[in-house]
Amino acid sequence: MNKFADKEYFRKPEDFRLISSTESKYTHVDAYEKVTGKAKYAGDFMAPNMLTAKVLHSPISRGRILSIDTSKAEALPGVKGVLTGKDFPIRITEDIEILCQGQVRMVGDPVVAVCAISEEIAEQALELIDVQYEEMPGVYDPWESIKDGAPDVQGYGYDNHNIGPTCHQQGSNDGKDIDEEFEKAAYVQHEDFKTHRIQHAPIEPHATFAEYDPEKDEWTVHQSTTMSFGDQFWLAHGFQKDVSHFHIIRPYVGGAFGSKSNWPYSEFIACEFARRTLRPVRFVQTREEEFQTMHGRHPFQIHIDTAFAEDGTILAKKADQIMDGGAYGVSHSQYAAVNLSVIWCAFPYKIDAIDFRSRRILTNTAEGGAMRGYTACQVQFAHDVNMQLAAERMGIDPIEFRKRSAMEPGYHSPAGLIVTSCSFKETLDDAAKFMRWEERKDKMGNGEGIGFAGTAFVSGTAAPVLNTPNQVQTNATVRVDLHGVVSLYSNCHDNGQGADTVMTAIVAEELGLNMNEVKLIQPSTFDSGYDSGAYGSRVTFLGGNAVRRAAVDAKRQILEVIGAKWGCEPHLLDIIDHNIICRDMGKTDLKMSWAEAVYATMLTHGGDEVVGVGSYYHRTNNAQYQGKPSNYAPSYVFSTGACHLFVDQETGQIDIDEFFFAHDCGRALNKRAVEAQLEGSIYSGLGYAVYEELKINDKGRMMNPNFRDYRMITALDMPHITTKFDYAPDPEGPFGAKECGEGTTAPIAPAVANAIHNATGLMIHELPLDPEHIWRLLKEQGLQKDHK
Amino acid sequence: MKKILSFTLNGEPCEVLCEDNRSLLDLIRDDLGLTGTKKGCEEAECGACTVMIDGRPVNSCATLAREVEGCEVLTVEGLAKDGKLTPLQKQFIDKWAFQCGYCTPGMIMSAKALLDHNPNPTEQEIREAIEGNLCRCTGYAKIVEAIQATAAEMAEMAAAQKGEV
Repeated sequence: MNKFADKEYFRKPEDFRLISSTESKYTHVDAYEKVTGKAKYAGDFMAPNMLTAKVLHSPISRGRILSIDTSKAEALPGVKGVLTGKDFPIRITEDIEILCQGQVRMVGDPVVAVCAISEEIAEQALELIDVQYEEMPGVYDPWESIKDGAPDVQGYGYDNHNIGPTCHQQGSNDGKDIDEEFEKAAYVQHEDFKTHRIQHAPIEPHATFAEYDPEKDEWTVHQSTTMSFGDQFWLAHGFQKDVSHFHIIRPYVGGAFGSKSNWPYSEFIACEFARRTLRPVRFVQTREEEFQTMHGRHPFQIHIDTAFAEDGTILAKKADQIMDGGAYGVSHSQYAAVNLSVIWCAFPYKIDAIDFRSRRILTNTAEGGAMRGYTACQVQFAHDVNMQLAAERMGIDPIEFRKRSAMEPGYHSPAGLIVTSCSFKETLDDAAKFMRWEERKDKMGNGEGIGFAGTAFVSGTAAPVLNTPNQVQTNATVRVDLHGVVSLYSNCHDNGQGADTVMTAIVAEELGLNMNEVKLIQPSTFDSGYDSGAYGSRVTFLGGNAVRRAAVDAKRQILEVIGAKWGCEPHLLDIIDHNIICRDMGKTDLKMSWAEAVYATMLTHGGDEVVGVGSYYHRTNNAQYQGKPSNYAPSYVFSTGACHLFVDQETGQIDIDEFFFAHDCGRALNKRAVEAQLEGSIYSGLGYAVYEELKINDKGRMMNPNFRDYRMITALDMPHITTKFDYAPDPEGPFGAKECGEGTTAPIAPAVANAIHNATGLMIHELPLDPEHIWRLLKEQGLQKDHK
Repeated sequence: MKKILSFTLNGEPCEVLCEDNRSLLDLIRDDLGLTGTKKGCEEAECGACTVMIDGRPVNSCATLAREVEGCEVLTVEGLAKDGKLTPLQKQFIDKWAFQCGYCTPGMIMSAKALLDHNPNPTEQEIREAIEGNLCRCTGYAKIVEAIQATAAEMAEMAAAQKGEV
């Protein structure tokens, strides 16, 4: 539909009853089920006669499979099936084999699958399988990997020097020449940064419960997913059928953070066993499988050259970035990684001449992928610490320094990004004020420091992933029955962020109803319209706009009928608290109940039900993917993180006293959920900055794929947090809302790094900032006793 | 070897045929169908499988089912009575103390175990009590707040009852 249609029927801010309300009428739609244990997640589905599937993984990082002997496993009583690579001849996303076919490329690659009548028997069967490998030398460092003569990571015969997707973007405003800008600069800075590998680690592991109907040749799959249409598409591809054979149902999802926007081998294996055995099959991945195989955050190495004018404003910036992609991802599915990592270089400052390049390099390690703030946490850590160092060397206050180059509403970046709403400077001011920066900055002792970091993120990513008419990213339908009961058919993926709640609230808000009068149809690929998934911070912005348009389409139909009855323009009517009211001068005493109006509308329409449809897209093109300018998202968000801490200069331990976070998310639709998202972002960012790291040894083996050694943050580790949000509403976001909860993880690590620098004078170029790292820096760089 | 196991589950007698090496978690979930208790790691690290045995919070993934012979086992399904949520469950809702909800049952069981023996805990005691329950969504702030609010509410209720007497 026309994205500008029906706006005259949109609820006006002065009439909001649910939006931005903190009163109890804004209810969490899944509350009762989640606190009573009734909420069912994919791994909670069971059926009589169910089988359990398990996988045997490669113990080596690179090698040929010489032989696989499954005879003993097959003979074990209770084993109902064994699968190997030859059972899955089709590759997924160009280079991924469901089970390896002749070669393994990383430790943890899936090699053999079994299913059995119990988990114990499936585990015993795995122990009886004999796989012989010819081990080959692997490569584990991206710089080593691109050298002439380096091992071919994948062995598919691509002549690519292990270089996967590359994005190179150059451009300038007003005909500026980047070399000239560097020549005329008052100060030029060259810096290098490095980041580490972490994992999403949602508490719920990936799980599949698959059933197969041989009469219809149809699978019903309960999948722990945030991208059910992607699951459907790739299952159909893997089984060489059309999508109508795959009914993907999304139950409750126990956290994802990017990890469930993929199509794990487990779901293909469960579906194939279900087809072969005609029995329901459950596959719940182990925690080790989660760490080894579910596409954690890419490690980066980043070089930045920046040219500054005398007053500290940025004239030009160049960046050369490589990421360790691990063993897979040569195709477009990983294009977003390089593409986005280039976009982040252009944020959140006005930079009129740019030259940014990112390359994704293959190594024989675990594959990297999307994780909360896809590449933004790595890139913006480097680029913000780069700003901090420049501010200091140029002798300008760090808040003032950032404000001088800060993006503003209306700025067009040479990267093609068009800034609409933007309160970045306000977030910087609020952070400085909260930390009492002016008052405290010269009064802190050695070991005490305050650090700030400013970052930006997309609000609604452009790519609908699959081909859709008009690049539509979400379809929604609102149906009103003869009694006035409203059903919302929406596939906006809820993974805990509250999508189901906010979509229900949007419909209730537009139709003047209570939330419990709007029934959300539990989503599946057959029950409601397309939604490309919960990734790229698109749900509230794109999905919310689509759902709002569906509700307003239904509302318009009703108001047109009642308007005609009352002899006034329908857009002067409104629905407030279960009543149709009239704002036409002289007719303001007219009133009709919601149920009566719905009944009257159906009578007028010959008995047809009122059905509203809506969709939403951000129209762009794929120019960005060729490094050309393109406005990647309909809107952008801006954040400032601020950290006050103490560093123990003997042990390298840091003690974070308080963390403040200001986020420009436009108008917050659900304030408590926004606050919760920001608190969760700080948690997640601190995990990345200080606590978490997946360590890979010199054989490519992951040393700590479990919660004990990975070191997740506990309730005892979290510092005191204060958040601020609700800045200027966005003109295009639903009810003025923008992104919250994904890009908001990006400013945490640089704020901590800048605070440690402020406290100790240490130059920080690498994550994580664990005590050992700080201690080493203290040894290498020495105590900077009089840096203040 | 299979044996008959007798214990009390959520206030009702339960008798079940159980393998010697069956974990309490698998017994509760797969054999008895109470899937509110979650499986997150099977290594006693995440706390999603927390249940109460005779009033103590334990990781059911690391407990053999046969160890609960004669014990009282309480799972999240045993909290709400006649559709009425407990104050702790209500506060988890009011304070927005969950997002994905996967850690919530275990978190609530740890919090209940704390409040049952220490009705007026300090913030530090609350954080210590839930240290073994990993949450990946919230940053714990709202969970701590919900537990504090429950303690306050129960103290008020107790005071009101005393007043009546």
